[in-house]
Amino acid sequence: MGLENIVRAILPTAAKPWLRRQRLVAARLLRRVGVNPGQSLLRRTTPINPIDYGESRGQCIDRYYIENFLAAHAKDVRGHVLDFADDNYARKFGGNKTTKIDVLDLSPSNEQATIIADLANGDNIPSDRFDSVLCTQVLHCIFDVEAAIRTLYRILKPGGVLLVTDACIQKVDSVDLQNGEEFWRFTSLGLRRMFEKVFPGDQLEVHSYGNVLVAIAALHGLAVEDLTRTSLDVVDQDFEVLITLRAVKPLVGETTEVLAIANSASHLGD
Amino acid sequence: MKDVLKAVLLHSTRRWLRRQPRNVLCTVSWDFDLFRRTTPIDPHWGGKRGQIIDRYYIEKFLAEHSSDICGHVLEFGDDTYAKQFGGAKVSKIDVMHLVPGNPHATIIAELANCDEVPSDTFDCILCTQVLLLVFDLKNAIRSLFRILKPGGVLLLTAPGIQKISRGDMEIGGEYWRFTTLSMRRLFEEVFPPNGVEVRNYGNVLAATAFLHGLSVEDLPPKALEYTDPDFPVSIALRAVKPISPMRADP
Repeated sequence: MGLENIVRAILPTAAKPWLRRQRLVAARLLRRVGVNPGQSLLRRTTPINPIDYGESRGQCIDRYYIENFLAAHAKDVRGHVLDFADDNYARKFGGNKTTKIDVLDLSPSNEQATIIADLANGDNIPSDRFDSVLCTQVLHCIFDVEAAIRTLYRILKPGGVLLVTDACIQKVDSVDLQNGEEFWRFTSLGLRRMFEKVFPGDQLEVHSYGNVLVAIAALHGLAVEDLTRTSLDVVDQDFEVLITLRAVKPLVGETTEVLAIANSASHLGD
Repeated sequence: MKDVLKAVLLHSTRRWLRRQPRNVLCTVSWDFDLFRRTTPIDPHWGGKRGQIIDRYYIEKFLAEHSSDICGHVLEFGDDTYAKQFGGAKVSKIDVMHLVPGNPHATIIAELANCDEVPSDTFDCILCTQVLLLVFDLKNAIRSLFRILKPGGVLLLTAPGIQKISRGDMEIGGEYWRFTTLSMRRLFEEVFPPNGVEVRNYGNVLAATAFLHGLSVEDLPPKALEYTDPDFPVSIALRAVKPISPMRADP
């Protein structure tokens, strides 16, 4: 940088357009061999796509893993389903297995919402109601996550299934941060430990997806289309871009002990 | 020829010139690689290459608040920062560690459950990169408040974007990454809010390089200085325990 400024000061103005052209030629040559100087990941301090999580370029990287996970557990999405913010996933993966869909949102301005509630103290949501709850990318927005998990347990029917996803390596949404809705990134162990306090641990399935390439692409706001499927499917346990969790509420009488613990925990929370 | 150049060029210019081939080569080859490779450039944290990226931020924060590091100081893991930033102002150092076997440790305890550490003990607590390893955050923060002397200062850092630390995961587990919002909220439940200051460090380049295990020396100068609130690589917090207990309730 220092050198560039000196050159700029010394050279006559007439030489500057010529220099600029040379730089463009060099950049074009570099791009041809696979180096992209304008997008050098080890030079730029701003993300390639600063405006969103990749939606403007194609499919958001998180969504690739979320939808793979939901597709793999589509048989769980049935009966009375609860989805968050909108009913896209309940429709897409439930199909005609669903009998009724409810949509929960914190904000009353969401027209799709049929239940307006804060999951952390969702006393207005009836107990033992849902066969399936799709809780994708929700928990990091809630400060008291453990209270939210107790609510999720309470509103599930016995035998009902909860499908959860959330992020560990992910940029922060400044708008959510200002609105007071951006609290956590979980590791798979953190998520498991919290759910084990409420749900029976032996039926919890927790997995992480992603690797360093996917993590960096997601931070830069790139989309699935910017990567290859092979690289998206490489799992490196040290780079948890997305975490999925499947939990089942035990049938009545099956594990009364766990129920008792969950109930006492919820009283402590009050 | 080499001697003539050596005599003519300034020391700083020589150092800059010596770094250029490495800079250019590394940047070009990494650039070529970075959109393709699914493994980190360096599987470690960057310590063997130079200064670890989050340490740059942590040490910057501690240097800014070095006047707080005095008297009886508690640190975690080892006493490096208490010595480095406290210097002669420190009268006594204790080191807390979760599991026995650490030669630096004077207190073996779990922060969330350390009743054996007496209350109102420390003038300053340096709690860097510890909270991510604590499952019971609320009790850990209550402990930090309890063992600080009235008027004592807590200097704490925690990650917002970081890969999993395999070693820590195997010892006691690694649970969280934070945002400035969760950090403030967690501490304001225990400390008086007017004594809590939270800030974030980092940008997308710092995050990228940190995930790849690169060090500060691998990056262009000043690259780490720019702070982007969307990419909180490190989050730092300073909290003060009030002198009179009356002031604890605002």
